[in-house]
Amino acid sequence: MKRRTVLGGTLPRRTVLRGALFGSAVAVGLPLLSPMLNNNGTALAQGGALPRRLGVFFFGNGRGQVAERWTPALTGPLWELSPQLQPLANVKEYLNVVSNSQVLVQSLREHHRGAVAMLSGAEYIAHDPGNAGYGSTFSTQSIDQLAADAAAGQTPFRSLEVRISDKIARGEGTAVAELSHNGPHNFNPSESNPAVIYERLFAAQSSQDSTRTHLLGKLRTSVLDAVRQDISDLHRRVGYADRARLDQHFENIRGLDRRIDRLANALACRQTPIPQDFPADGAREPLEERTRAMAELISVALSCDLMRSFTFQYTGSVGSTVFWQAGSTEGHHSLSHAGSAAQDEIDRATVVAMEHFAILLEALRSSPEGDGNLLDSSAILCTSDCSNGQTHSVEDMPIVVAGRGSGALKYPGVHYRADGNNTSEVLLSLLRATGLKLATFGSGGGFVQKGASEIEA
Amino acid sequence: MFPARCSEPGTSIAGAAGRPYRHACAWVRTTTLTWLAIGALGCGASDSRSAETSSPKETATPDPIAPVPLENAADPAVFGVAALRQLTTREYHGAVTALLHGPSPDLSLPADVQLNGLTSVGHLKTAMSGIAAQRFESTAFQVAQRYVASINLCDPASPDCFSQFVRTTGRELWRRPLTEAEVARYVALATQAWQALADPKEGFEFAVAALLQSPYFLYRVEVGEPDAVLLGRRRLSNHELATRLSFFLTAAPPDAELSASADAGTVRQRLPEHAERLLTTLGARDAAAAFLSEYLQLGPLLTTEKSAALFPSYDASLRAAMYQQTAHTLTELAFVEGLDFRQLFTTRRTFLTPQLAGFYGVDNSPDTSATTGAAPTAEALSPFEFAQSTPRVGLLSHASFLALNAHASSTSPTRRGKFVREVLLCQAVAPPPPGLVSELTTVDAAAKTSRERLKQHADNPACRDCHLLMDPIGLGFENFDAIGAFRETQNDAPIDPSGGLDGKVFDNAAQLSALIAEHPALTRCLVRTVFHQASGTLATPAEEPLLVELHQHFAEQGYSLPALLLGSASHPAFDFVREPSATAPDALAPGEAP
Repeated sequence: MKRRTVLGGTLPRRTVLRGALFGSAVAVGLPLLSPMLNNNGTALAQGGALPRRLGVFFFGNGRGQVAERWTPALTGPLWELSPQLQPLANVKEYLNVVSNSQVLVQSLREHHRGAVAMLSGAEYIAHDPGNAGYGSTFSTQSIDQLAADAAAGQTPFRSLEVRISDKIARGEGTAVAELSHNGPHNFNPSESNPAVIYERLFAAQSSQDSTRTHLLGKLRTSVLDAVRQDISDLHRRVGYADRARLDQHFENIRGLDRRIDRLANALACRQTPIPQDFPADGAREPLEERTRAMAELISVALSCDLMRSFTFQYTGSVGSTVFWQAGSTEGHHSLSHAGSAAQDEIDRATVVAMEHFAILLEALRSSPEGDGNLLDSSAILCTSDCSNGQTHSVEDMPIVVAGRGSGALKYPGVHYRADGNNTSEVLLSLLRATGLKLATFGSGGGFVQKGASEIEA
Repeated sequence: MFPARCSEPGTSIAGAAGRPYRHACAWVRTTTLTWLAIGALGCGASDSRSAETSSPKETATPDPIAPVPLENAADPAVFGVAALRQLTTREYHGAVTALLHGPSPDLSLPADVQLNGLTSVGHLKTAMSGIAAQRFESTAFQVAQRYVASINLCDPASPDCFSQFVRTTGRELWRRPLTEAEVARYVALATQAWQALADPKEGFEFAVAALLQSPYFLYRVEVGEPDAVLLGRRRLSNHELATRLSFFLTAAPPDAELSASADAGTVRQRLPEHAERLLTTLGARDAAAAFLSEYLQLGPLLTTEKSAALFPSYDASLRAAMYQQTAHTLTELAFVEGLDFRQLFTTRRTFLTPQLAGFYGVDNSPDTSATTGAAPTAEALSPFEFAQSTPRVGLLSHASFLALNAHASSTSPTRRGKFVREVLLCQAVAPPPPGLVSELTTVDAAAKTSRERLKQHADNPACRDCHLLMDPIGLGFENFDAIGAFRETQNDAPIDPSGGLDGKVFDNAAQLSALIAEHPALTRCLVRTVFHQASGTLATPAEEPLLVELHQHFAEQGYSLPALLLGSASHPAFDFVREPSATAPDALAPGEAP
């Protein structure tokens, strides 16, 4: 039994395990194989470019009070790792550090401003306050979704949203609770259980051997067609806000439907064991174990091109993760406001976060693709919602851009010390590295017409 | 003090786009009036908040509220806006339970989204995510298989078999009769599945799975038709009204009697009768319990951790019991007994598990159980009345509130005070101004008590205005530590729990609770929250008179919660929703230069 690949060729059927339509079996196989690539491994043999990926690694409440703990002392190509960035030593050549750039979006609410600006280059929309005056949502889509738009139709999934800590602030609207947004009050929820992510990514892959499976797929499409008619009938009777919600619903249904076809034609994926669910032991969340499992799943999914865009919410803005690894017993947000005495603990927490960021980056680097690895084709923004959580400062934001961006980013990386530049410039560079042809980016105070050219190759 | 641009109803406030910012002003009005009443502290709040609300960007929310000019005095009374309300987890289970005539199976449904503290508001405003659509698809097939296995099936070869099935099942799941075009569409699907898979059962299953994925099932449709009498409002159909009533009171779709009334077009005439009947069901009790837990924002307690070193007794089972104590006490006393709501804050009656009795250091052996009986969901709880000699008076002496509004290792008078202001009195406290260093820089090394440590909040003008609204309340609860255990001293220094609330003084938490109980904002705030729950939206200025009216009724009924629910559902405005905005709110488009 043969099966079509993206190249139009065939792979032996045995590279793909059988999967049931609504069941839990899984398709497994191989990453982009050398025969699929051109001779120097930089492009598909047919001439199409290798996929370009965008990722976001987010940690909440800033890096701490002392900028020198984060910011490398030297600038340019000769920079050396700062104490907080030390855990990234094994992938240092893939890092571009940007210091002294600031959020210029003119919003007032702390945490919310930085979180929304660093993900979308725009302002938040404040909630109707009711009796809780401090909530907001995104005003526009986040950068991972811009990247997903660029790859729309080419992968079974638009994007992947994972979360490590569950200690997320859920009482202040979607802006600080979730990273990935399609628009106002319209977010792509993150998931912290690796087993659930595994199920979502791999369980739906269906084989084409079975007539019955094929029929079920066709019937499922018919179900979705019926539902789509209902959506479009209802669409005519509702106001603007609900039309936008129904449009998203329609898009979701269409995504489910198309996934059936795309999975059938997708590359086979490298086999990976079903991960555990890593429940928290009281306040002790297994941050490292979850990170390792998620890093593996992301690597596998990127390798077989299930999606090209992901967000990795390590900890949340205003989040109350307890960094027990750093000796903490207090939630991170409370700790960030507990005065100077707590700053050593905050500092250690940042180091732990970077140790875990390193796990992700090293997993990508050890996933081969062509002559290189997944980090060569990725651009990953590592940042927070503020620099110093104690003051909520959005000056000198902590920013690392990891990955070679398919050759668009400096390699080996540099430390670029900006001059109070707009953080949106970094986001624009990131999006360009992902292949988007953008001249400008952002809105309001976050609007920029140039990227951070100092980190562009 | 009182922002001039939002000063009076009747003043139109033109923004940059020439639109009145009615919505933003509602906020300022409802909250600022309260500020004035308590002495116009300003809270720096007035500054930062009016700056925010007067910014065109801040008001550019996607809220579907139409910009009706404030001059229009003839605003029709409505309950919210025409909208689609995505079923919550509880409501989805309620619908499945009704379909199966039995308990709903375990379903992997998407997580609920709360906005403004209520799932009801979150599910009117947020969009369904792609993951949710995926989950709704797999649960639909799961429920369909179960349903089809539980009923007698007709022979699809016989005429009208599928169409009758779709008509009946669709009526139940969509909470309204299907049009013939809709019936035909789902019959075609059933037929296709039957023939393709050569199994009649598959035809029924696919039809049900599809009906369950339709927006007519997944959303409560409250769209209505334009009202013939008044422009700007829409009248809900009988089926929509029945659905709104039933989900409001029981978190489940209309039962057979209400459905029949909807088909007969008599819901409005019989509404008080229907509402009274629904309020006596077990479903209404569960729905009230869920609402009251959201009202007190108890949910996060179940995942609130404390320092294991300082509080070794605090574990998942204790905090679950704390949650149960408060949820059950509220439900039993406020909903089942219909006790004057204010007395919840002064009563010594509660319900305890043996573990909680140990925590509170009281003896509550089972033989003291009164006749009220324990609820099936909380069999370990039995009624208890704290003695006069104990400091446990009212809901605010429950460990739930005290532990939830504290840090992991220490209390937070600010958070406890903020809870009272925002949740119980509906008085939003402004966020700290941008750039403020939140560190207490001048804490006296000799400071032992929270009062001493927070002195800077009272001394520093940058902190004072807002913190004066919260800290004095929270300091009144200082006799209770970070998990709610009683203490006389902190770091060996005696605790002074005295203070003032809006011009009245108290000596301790019990007196503070009594002041909160008699605070005029307490019951008004509950009315407002019930309105949010019923309509899924926050009240607009046009709806303020309605809230006053509902509060009047609430007071006349001795502040009985069931009477408030009944009064809200029976109010003529309950049949109506506001016309939704047809166009996008004016937001700064992405890429638009400043």
